[in-house]
This record gives sequence, structure tokens and C-alpha cells, in this order.
Amino acid sequence: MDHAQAKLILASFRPNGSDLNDPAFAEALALAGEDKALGLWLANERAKDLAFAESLSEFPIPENLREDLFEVLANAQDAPGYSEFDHEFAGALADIQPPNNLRNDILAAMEIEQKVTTLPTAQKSPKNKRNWFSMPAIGVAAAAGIVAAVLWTSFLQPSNPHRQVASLTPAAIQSEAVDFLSGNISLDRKNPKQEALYQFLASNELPSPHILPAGLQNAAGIGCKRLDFNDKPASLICYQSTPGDSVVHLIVFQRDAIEGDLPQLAKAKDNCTHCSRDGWSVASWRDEDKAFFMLGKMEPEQLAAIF
Amino acid sequence: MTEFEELVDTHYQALYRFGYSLAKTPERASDLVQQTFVKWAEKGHQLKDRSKAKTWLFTTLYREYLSHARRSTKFPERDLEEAEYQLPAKAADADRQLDAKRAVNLLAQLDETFRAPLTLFFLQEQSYKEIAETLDIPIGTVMSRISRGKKQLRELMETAVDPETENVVKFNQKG
Repeated sequence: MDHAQAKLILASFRPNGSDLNDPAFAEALALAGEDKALGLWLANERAKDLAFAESLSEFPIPENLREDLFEVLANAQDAPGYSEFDHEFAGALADIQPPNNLRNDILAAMEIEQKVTTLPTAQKSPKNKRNWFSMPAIGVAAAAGIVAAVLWTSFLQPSNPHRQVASLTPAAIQSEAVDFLSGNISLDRKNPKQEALYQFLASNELPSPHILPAGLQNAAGIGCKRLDFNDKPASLICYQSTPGDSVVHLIVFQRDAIEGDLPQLAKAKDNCTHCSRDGWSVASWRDEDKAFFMLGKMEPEQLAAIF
Repeated sequence: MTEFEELVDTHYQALYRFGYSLAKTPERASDLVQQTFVKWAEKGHQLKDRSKAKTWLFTTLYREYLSHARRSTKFPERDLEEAEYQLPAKAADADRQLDAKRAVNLLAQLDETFRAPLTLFFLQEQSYKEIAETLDIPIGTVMSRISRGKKQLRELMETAVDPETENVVKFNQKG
């Protein structure tokens, strides 16, 4: 390193010494320590910079700026309709999907009710009193019970996070993942900040991504959950992807849990498949020690755009 | 104090000074700072790495300034000397405030390419790497602009006209 290079670097050395431990300046500082002329130049440069910086730091701030700032921000947050909690909750609710067969189950329950209510009418009772335990009433109650049971088992009960497949191949995982995400998901932790979700996963010794596709890097988090596939732990992380505000799910495994190979991230977008069931698209890739499955209820091109 | 209040208190003054060096009026500088923190209130929760909050704020303010500068061709730039900016009339602080105003005046006279990186350098809130990130320019370019900007600044200081006395004076160095 010559004098000219050292001076170019040291010109960016902050006069208050904040950059003392920055390795980028180490060689130039060492040279200044050995070379008297360069050392004198640096001392002079820092003195001039410090004087100017001190003058700048005394440039007055408008008296009411701080109060005005908080007033403007308070008004922004009090605006009708603004509620960070509501915003997050609505986003999380939007991700809940009704089960596939709910419509058919309801129709089937209605058919049972119809069969009951079209039974031949009972002979008139001598007392001619309304009997709530008559066949049609029982039928209605039974049908209601069936519907309630169907609703509970299909809709209100969360999807089972413990999945069993014949073997943990990428195709099997993709299919199980779509099944799981098509149900009602209860997240273990909800937070819009990705970092908070990764900390939760780390504290529970669950895998999380080191590098994300570009479209997810600044996405808001929704939440995360532990899954188990054949008793192998995996993480589900849900994101609110900015383009179109779609929800994107990322399932992360330890790589050695997966049978078969996956492409690297750079090639993953060329391998977005389209599950024929319910419009889900899937992309999968691996890095050194993790395997990733990214799913979204969207066209493959939309999922590919997240890369 | 909430995290948000702490963030405002920690950075609003340096942000104002940076905004002033760009926009040259206290009203516009205040607007830039307000817009920056409103954006933080709306979107700051998306920032994964909270240690990047400072860079995020300076970057946002700079982008707000550029966005407004592109849109607004109708409003001519006002010379700093003509600005109706009233300094508090405390005699004990008069010399320091004069130096402060002269410092900002000198920065305002720099080439546009030097003004932002040099102001950020002298505010001392950011390293040259953070300045590169804020201004979205390569690290080597930041170093070059700081070096060349200081050279131009020193030349201006040698021939600066004191707006108070109309005399050519050397910049009053302390220490």
C-alpha cells in the first residue's frame, strides 16, 4: 500500500475514532504509525475533520421538532381503521382454508335430514299433542348433530402436524404438505418479524433458513409451527409475500431426513411444480444441511417470481 | 420509554442535520424527518435485523429527498444565505452557532455528488460501508467522494465569505 492509497482510505476514517476496530483501516493505520509524513498528515486530517464535525453537531434543531414528530406519528397511528393487531390478525385469518370436503359433508348431512323428514307421517295420536320426540324432530336433531360432528372434525379441529408417509421422498412430502396446509393450521408462534420466528425455532432446536429467496427476504412473517414427518422434526414458517399479498409457506427439514436429491436454490425456480389438487404450487431445494419446500396457493409462475 | 421513542430520540437530530444539508430549508428538513419516521411506523416492523434501523432511517430520508427533488422542478432552490432561519440570540452561543451555520453553508456549496456522503461522514453516525448502503453506491465510490469532497470543502473554506460580515475569513478551527 502506498501513501496515496493509504490517504484515500484514511480520509474515510471518522475523526471520533469509531472506525478504530474496522479491519478495513488496519493496514493504512499501521502504515501511518510507521511513516512519519503519513502520520503527520493523518493527525492534521483528523484535527480538521473533528473541528468541522463538532461545528456541524452544533447546528441547531428546531425547538418543537421532537414534539411535532410524536404528534404526527400519534395521529398516523390513531387514524380510523389503523390497528397493527387487526392487520396481523386479519392476515393470519386469511390463511385459514376450509377443508376440501366441507361442502360435500354439509350436503350429505342435509340429505340425511331430508330422508328423515320424508318418512311416512305417524298416525294421529289420540291426544293430538305436539311431541318433540317425533321422528322428524329426532331426524333434525340427528342431522344437526352429524353436521356439528362434521364441522368439528373437519373444520374446527386443527390439521394433524404429525404426518406419516411410506418414505420421506420430496414427492411424498409435497403431497403431505398440501394435505396439511389445506386444513386448519394452528401456529405455535405468531409474529410479523421473521427474526422472532427464527429465534423461536432455534430455541426449540428446529431448523430454519439461512438464505431465503429474494421475494421472502423482506416479507412480513405470519407465524411458525413444528411439524413431524415420520417423527423427523420440520419447521413450517408462514410469510406474507408482498407481490399480491399472497401467503407463502416454507417447510424446512434437516437435509439428511430427506430421501432423494433436490436442486440448489439457484435452480429451484425452474422446478416449480403444480399440484393438480386445489391449485397449490410447490418449489423445493436444498443447501448444505437443510431441505426446503416452499408452497403457495397460486400459479407456478407466481411462486417462481418469488425467487 | 418505548422502543419507538428511543429510536426517535437517538436519531432525529442527525437525521434533521442530514436532511437540512440536502434540502437547505428547516421546513423541508423537518418534513423529511417526519416522513421518515412515519414510514418507520408503517414498515419498520418488517426489518429483520434491528441493528440496521439507523441505516434504514438514513436511507429512507435520502430516498424521500430524491423522490421529492425529482417531482418538484417548480420550486427553485433557495440560497442558504437567503433562508429566513433565525438562530437563537444567545450571545454566549453566538460564535458556536455561527460556525455551525458556516459548516452547513459550506456543505451546501459542494457539488451535489459530494454533499450527501460528506455530510454523513461528518455526522459520524455511519461508517463508510453504512454510507454506501444508505446512498446505494459502491464502497470505493464512497471513499473517493469523501476524499474529493473534503478537498473541495477545504478549498471553499480557504475562500469562504462570512455572510455576517461579508469579509473573506478563514474557517475558525477549534482544538
